[in-house]
Amino acid sequence: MNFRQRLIAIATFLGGIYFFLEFVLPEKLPEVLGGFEFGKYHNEVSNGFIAVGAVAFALGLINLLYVHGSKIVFGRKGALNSAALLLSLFAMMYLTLNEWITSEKFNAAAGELRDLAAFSRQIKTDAESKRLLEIPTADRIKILITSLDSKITEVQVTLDNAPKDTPAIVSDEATAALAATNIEVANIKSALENDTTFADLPVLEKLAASLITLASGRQKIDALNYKVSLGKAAYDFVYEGLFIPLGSAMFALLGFYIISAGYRAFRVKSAESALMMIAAVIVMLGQIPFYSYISEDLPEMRLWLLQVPSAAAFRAIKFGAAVAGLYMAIRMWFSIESVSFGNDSAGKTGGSE
Amino acid sequence: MGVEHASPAMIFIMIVLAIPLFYFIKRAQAGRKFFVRRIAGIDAINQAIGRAAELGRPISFCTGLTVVSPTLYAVLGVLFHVTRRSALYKNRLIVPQNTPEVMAIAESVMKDAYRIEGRSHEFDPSSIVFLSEEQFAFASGYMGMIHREKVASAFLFGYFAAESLILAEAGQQVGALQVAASVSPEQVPFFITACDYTLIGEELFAAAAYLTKEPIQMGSLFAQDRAKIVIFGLIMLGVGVATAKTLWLQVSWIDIDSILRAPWETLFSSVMSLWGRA
Repeated sequence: MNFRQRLIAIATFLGGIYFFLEFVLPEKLPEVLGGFEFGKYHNEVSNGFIAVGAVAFALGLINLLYVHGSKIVFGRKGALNSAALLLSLFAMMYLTLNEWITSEKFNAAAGELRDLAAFSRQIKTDAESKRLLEIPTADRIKILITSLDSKITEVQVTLDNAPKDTPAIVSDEATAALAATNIEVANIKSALENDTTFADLPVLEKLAASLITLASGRQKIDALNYKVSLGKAAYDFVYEGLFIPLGSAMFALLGFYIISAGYRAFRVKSAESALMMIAAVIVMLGQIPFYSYISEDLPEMRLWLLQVPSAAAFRAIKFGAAVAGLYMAIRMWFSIESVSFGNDSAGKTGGSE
Repeated sequence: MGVEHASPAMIFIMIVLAIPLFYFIKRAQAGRKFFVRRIAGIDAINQAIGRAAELGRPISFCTGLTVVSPTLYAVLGVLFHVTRRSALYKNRLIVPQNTPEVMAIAESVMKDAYRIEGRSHEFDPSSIVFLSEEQFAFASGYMGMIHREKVASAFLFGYFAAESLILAEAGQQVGALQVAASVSPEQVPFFITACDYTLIGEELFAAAAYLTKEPIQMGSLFAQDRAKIVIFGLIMLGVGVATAKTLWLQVSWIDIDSILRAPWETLFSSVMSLWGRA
């Protein structure tokens, strides 16, 4: 075993022992044994493995670029198809990234309004508890209002550019929230002019409530704006207009293939195939709605075939595969398997004589 | 109902089942010969490789939707053998892939197979083709590849779902000799109808041992057969006890089910009470 193989064996063993102990140990050990919770960080560990898997996805991308890129560069047979594949790959990547970035942008814009609402509530809470703060309440409110001014302008622009078919309920809600916010801001501004200590704290709660509604309205209008954009139209065309129907078409092929495979399977060539054909005919006839014209017992026979002989065979296959899987897993865990591939000793076996 | 944490009885059974594995591997390594019955589907693997060499057409080896799992390692044992033979006969071997992680592992196994045959320089990394992670996009990619390359033999080994028949029919259409193996009983009928040979369930795990006669794999195969006999005995015992319980209601039977399912807390409290008494 060389250094690389030894390293892999150690990592495999450690990974295996973690998951083994996570499964076999109770959720929490008894207090006399320290009360340790072994699975406490299980989510974090699982997420780590998911992250490794995500990194591995790049391997697929590299392989596609290598296989199809080399075809294009060296002008091999099928270069045009490879070019179409890579073009589609990059187009889909661009459209999906655009979709993700845009949704993140909208969430961030609405999130800023929600943050300001939280800030407004915090000012009220701090003022009520009479905590001594480095920045006085009035100054904090001024900062809030200054930040809000630019946000209100942004929301106004979003509302003005809302798509024509925006549902009235959405635009009305956003307009009303914007008007309410403007009123509260005006109230706060005038209160600040007259009262430097700012005693009208409930207005901050009202402002926070209107900002939350405004954030939700803005998010909805942004989503509607994106829905009518070119980026979304292109994404929908490629994903919902091409990708999903093509997948469904492939799945639909199964119907035809089942007929041709069934035709081959049901040719009676031996005693076993005759038995299979009889069983299949009973199952099919028991399934159809007009079985009663043939025999009232057909559904019962069908159920018996599925629940007794068929289920028994299924369980036998699954049992056998599970035991074999368990042994294979133990061999993987202890890296006993590694000598089967790659080790020179494999050359001395009956592999290629 | 799924099991999130094993009960002490489950761990005991797992340990009991694991012991024969190490024992029989040791015996196999010490030179004990184990008998494996003839499996037509596995014999057909060499036949399929030979056919491709005679026709001068490529071989395809598809691992389907298999992810990194014990099934994959069973499949890799067969891939290793097929690659060695292909390297020996100078066959072109195409390995379409659905999962990037599996692709990397398969590439490493194939490289090793070429190296052991002394033909590392002939290994072509572009023979391992990542098609798509999407099930039906993968199936359509596979179909296209099989039709374009007109493969002489196709191997379908691993985990398959609804796309199994699409893949098998593609090979059928180009007249390929097809050998399939799946641990999923739902897909076995599709393979039986569309492929020339089908390995059912655990035969997939036996394939590598059968082909290579390697001591570790032979020992493991022998041990798993013994474990199945033990499990079969336990099932028969369970059936017997359940039947006896219904026949002799007045007898107070030990509740085996409760013992098997007893959680750790019960074990700890029993140990603590025994400790207290001592």
